[in-house]
Amino acid sequence: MASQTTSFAHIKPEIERVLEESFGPGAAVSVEQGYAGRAHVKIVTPKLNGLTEEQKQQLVWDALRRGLGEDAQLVAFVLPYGMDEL
Amino acid sequence: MLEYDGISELIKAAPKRLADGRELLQKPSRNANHSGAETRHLVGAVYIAGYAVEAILKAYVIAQTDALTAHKGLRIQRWSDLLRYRKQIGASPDLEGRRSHNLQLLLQAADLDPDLSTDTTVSAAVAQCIKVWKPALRYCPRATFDRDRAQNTLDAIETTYNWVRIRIISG
Repeated sequence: MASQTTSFAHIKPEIERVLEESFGPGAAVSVEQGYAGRAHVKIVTPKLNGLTEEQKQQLVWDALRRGLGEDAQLVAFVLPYGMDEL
Repeated sequence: MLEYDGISELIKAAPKRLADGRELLQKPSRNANHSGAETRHLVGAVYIAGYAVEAILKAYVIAQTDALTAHKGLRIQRWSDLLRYRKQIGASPDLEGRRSHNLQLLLQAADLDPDLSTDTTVSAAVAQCIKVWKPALRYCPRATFDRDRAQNTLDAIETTYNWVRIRIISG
């Protein structure tokens, strides 16, 4: 349990940093704890406007893998929104 | 006391709700030529089909918890058993009451998510289910969905249901 909490506490700010760098300061990013301390990520940004759900997933996952490297495996689920969905 | 909350009931009910939704996507048989006939039942189709995902996720979490607690001899086979156990151990997230209909919370309680990161088709389908479906759709008075969106959503529901279903190993 302690290692799971530590992992989440470590990865949360890294995820926020990577996504803000990738999608700009206007992106709203929320990181919650999923099963076994893995991260569930929600992002809202106009850069995802007009894309299909698969395209949104691909863009965000690509950014996470580029920015986090091996630590991207600590991210379990991504929920991406364009502003046009709100 | 909850009704129909046994794991076998949930597993059996899930595909039936999806089939109900598929049926409601069809052209209506009553007043088929009236204005709005094409979109009349689309919200209903999405609403009822979405319960397939809720039911199968609940079944998965029950099976997962039963397996994890097998050494304690608890035999968790019902959603009500699961809630009681989770309350005893202070488990997060809270799945009581209306939270039990929250697909994102159900996903957080399940250990499914590592597989999601490797399959964009499934993760997109799960994301679409979470974004679109909520029980409050039952009160929606408008034709919120056009046919394409309703069809896409039911396809996402079916993808998610199938993906979770094959991962359930129940006793």
